[in-house]
Amino acid sequence: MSEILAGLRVLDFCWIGAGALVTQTLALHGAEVIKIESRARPDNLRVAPPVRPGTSGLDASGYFASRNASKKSFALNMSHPAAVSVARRLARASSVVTSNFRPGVMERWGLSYQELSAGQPDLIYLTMPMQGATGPHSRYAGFGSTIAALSGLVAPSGLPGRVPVGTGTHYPDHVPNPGHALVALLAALVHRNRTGRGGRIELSQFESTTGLLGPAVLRYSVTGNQPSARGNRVPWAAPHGVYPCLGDDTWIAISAGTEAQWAALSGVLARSEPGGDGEPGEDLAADPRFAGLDSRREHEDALDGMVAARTARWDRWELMGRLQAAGVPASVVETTGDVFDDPVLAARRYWRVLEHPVMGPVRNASAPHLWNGQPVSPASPAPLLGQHTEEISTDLLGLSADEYRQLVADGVLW
Amino acid sequence: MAEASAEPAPTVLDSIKVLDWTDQAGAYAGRLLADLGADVVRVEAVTDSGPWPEERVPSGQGHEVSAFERFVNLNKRSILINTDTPAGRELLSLLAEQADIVLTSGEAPRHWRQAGRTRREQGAPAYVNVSAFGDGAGAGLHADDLVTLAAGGLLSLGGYPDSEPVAVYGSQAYLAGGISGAIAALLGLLAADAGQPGADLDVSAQAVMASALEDAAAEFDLTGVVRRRTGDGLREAGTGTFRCADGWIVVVAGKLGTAAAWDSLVGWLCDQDVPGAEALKGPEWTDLSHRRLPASIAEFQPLMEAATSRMTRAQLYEELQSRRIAAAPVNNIADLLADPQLADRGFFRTVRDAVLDRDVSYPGPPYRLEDHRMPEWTSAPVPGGQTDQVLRDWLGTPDDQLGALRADGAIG
Repeated sequence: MSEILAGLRVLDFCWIGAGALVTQTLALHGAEVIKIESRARPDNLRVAPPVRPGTSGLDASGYFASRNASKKSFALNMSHPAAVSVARRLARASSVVTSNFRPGVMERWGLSYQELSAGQPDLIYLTMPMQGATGPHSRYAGFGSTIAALSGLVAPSGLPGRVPVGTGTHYPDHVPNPGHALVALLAALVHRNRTGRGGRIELSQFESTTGLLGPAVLRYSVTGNQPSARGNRVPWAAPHGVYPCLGDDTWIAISAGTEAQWAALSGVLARSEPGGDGEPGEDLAADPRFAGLDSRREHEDALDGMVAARTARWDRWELMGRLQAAGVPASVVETTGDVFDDPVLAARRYWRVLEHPVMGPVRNASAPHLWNGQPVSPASPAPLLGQHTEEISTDLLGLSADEYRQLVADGVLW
Repeated sequence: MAEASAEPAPTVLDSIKVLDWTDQAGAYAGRLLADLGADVVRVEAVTDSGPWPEERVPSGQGHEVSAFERFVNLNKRSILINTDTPAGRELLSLLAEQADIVLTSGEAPRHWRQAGRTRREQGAPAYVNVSAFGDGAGAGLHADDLVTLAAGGLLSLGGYPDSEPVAVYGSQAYLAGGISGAIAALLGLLAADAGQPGADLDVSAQAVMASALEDAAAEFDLTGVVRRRTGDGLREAGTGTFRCADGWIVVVAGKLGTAAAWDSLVGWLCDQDVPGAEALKGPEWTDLSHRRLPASIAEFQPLMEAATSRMTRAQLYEELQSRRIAAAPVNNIADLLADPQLADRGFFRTVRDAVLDRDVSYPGPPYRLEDHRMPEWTSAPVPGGQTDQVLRDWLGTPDDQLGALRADGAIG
């Protein structure tokens, strides 16, 4: 199923976070993604941890490998005057050009949409500037975590009275921004199939992330109410939280959104022996303070304390299984190690081990969908820097061996 | 650029028909396609059985409605079908045969199976189901947004070291599942364009979350180290959330930043006459591994907050950005509506909402396709508000038959 986008060539100037995930998804589905990078200015992720102990260098970063699988790497030193004509020839041979630089960088190289689309009206050109190409803050610097703060996502994420914490990651780089960019890019491809026309897509990473605050914006415009930090509690369900289990720093997330789920939760927790079928203990549902959602919300401190006292006696996986069997939404709070052993993800064959020449075996993520029941997994690991320069120079650009060697010697293909 | 002609240029997804039979876990997928010009028809049959689990806003009629529901259903049409009747189920199948994309989530797949039809038999080029655990091994599992965040690992990274993990605000797992649903739907359409038979796409929101663990999954894979939530603690000097006079500011001048950003930050602290800041000019501080030492973080943080606590978020944002340091205020919603950049770009829009019976604000679309025509926005529908119109448009149903279907209780 990796052949859906076969024949689609993407010239990819994206680096670091959000953009690289856009083109990785295209590559997973069969597009030929040619990543432009150079030793003169490597992708920051190539020098970022983690690395496997005993490995080092520009080809050892697990961070880089996690978002560049199945791509080709073309080493092109864009600061060399001769590089632009090579880039333009690659663009001419491509259907899609992607970048996520600050406004002005592609233009300075003569690689603007206007220039590249002249004579190539079906070109699709994706640019992902942090705050958009126009406006007073268009040249501001940022990363995923600063965009999350700007967008309003961080302020209500945390415990009341403490520093707001957001997701603890550069979330906008991983979900809204690559996701929205892919929607626009794939829709533009659908449109091109029908009309023969391409176009320029601009994704402001700030705007794209703010889009996910839509319900809060809408509510504020009607009521004037701001969302506030409330931990894991929500107005529409109780208990709705994260509770301890047996072991160090092990947790389960439980949500009782209906009276039936609350009764079922209470029933499971009333078992005197976790995992056993012994005499039922105290049934929380019998406590009049916990009759009905409004009353549970009113006594939520007591409720959460009593739930936590009971979950703490359970093995997290066993409790999840019992609760799910009883119809209660619940999951182990999986750690970044647990996800590799998760039985449901394993059944979907979500992680695919690929042998990387420097890093050794690396577990790569597949697409989040199954296609007619089959995973869509990367065919090859992240490329070494410049791994495909010679192949692309000769096969695609038609350079002779001498011309190729000269460009290498001149520091253009570097 | 639109060509000069009497006919308006087609929208991006002009003439693409989408049957949207989703609940909160998948509805954002259809919203994204509707924004691009697809004719997205919401089937109200399953999800009206219970309230959408999101914060409420008062409607014009005295009851409360879900802000989330109004957000994810913008630009769609709505049809009310009673899927408990054979005629209603038949109608649903006829609509699915006309659709380019069928989107489902929640209880919809079960209804479809009960109708005795597999998905591929629905005839649409792309059938997409969005669920927390996928429709295979995890099909029987129960989940909401919080549980999905937990299952995908993202929840383990949120919160404070001294408390339970804390979830991110705003039903992010539902929205992320919706985005992935839209991506899958468009890939399915492209496959059909390439001559492939219909695609059945089973989106797992758990998998979406597991792909959003930053470098932490790779860290475990390569080193065996499980990353834990850091909360209010800094991971390195130069990067973190700092108290200011009117709230908080986030600064990144560390691992992902450049050496220039760190130098610039130290220069700023010295210019602020923070006592002790000169020590940060020592050569050892240019090394990331030094800035990650607990002792380094403990030395840096009070110096930073001595400077930031004297200034407002807006002052710091401008001041630090002028020195090319990636900084951003921790904004609330009112701040967003007043943000000069968003205002300059005309980002927020006003839509007259048909259920709330008043103007409401929406963030603009997450992208701009300047060479394509984007449709005008229309209110999220009143449930069943376009039943007759949709049946006429999609199936050519004559008026007398509409009356008969309504009399039989097949449509609302």
